[in-house]
Amino acid sequence: MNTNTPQYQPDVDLDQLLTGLARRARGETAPKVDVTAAVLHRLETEEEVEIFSFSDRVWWYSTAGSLVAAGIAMMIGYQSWFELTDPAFEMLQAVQVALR
Amino acid sequence: MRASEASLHHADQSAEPAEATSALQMITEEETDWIERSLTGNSAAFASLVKRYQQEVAAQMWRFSRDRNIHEELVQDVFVEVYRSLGSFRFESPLLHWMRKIAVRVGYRYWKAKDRKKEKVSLSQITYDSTEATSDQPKSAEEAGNLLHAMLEQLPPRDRMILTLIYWEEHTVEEAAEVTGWSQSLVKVQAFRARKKLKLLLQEQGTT
Repeated sequence: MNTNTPQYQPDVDLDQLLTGLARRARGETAPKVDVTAAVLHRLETEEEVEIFSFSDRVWWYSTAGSLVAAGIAMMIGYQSWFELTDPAFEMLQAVQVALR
Repeated sequence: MRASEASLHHADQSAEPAEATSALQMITEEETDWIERSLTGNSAAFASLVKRYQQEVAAQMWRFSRDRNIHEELVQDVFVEVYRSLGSFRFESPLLHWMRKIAVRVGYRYWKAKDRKKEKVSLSQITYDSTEATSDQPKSAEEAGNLLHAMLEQLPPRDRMILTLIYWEEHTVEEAAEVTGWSQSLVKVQAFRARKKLKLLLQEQGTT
């Protein structure tokens, strides 16, 4: 008999099989672990990462926001709001005509 | 955990009061103190909590992975998650009971990630005899554990989880529903389908 071949017997009740195996398996011993130091280290590291990424994000948002605000201020300084929006309005009208 | 019969038929019945009393050992003053101090950021208090429960959690996570490195990582994940969720602990159930729920979630997440990568061990790599498993012949707990793990590993995460909870962790349908967040009827249907699927898989592999 080839012992490397699984020998599941179809007539064996699966429920009985699982119950039997689980009953025996419950007696097994899991490997001993000591994760105390690792968990504390991870918690500390994750906290630092969170603080860093928050400040990092704040920096990027404030920089991008400042640039956008400066850009808008410059455009408003040189052109009126109507002048800014007029080309876009004209383009929309052209598209509308083309669609008709 | 409760020591009732592992089959779904038995699990379907409600828990006996005596068993419930022994299992539901209420939270101790020491644990309450650890939790409260952990919430204020006291790492020594949380370390005491980890030391107290790490072997129980390790035993549970051994059902989710037989790889020692992954197993240890999963135990760590559970405690990291416990720390993050401590604020939501209501002191109404035993701490271990609450931790076990978190452990199931962590383990299930790991299975789903593993399933996406399709890392599965074929059952044909393991020698087993189903008649031996059901007979009275002694089979070592480790062998039985490895075999059960390999059998359940063939299933998709949802099926695997429900059979693990019902057979291995001896959960009743009610408890399994609480842990998974599913309805009791969904638990029963899922368990039925999972058993059917496993039976087919075993038959297929047994005839090749």
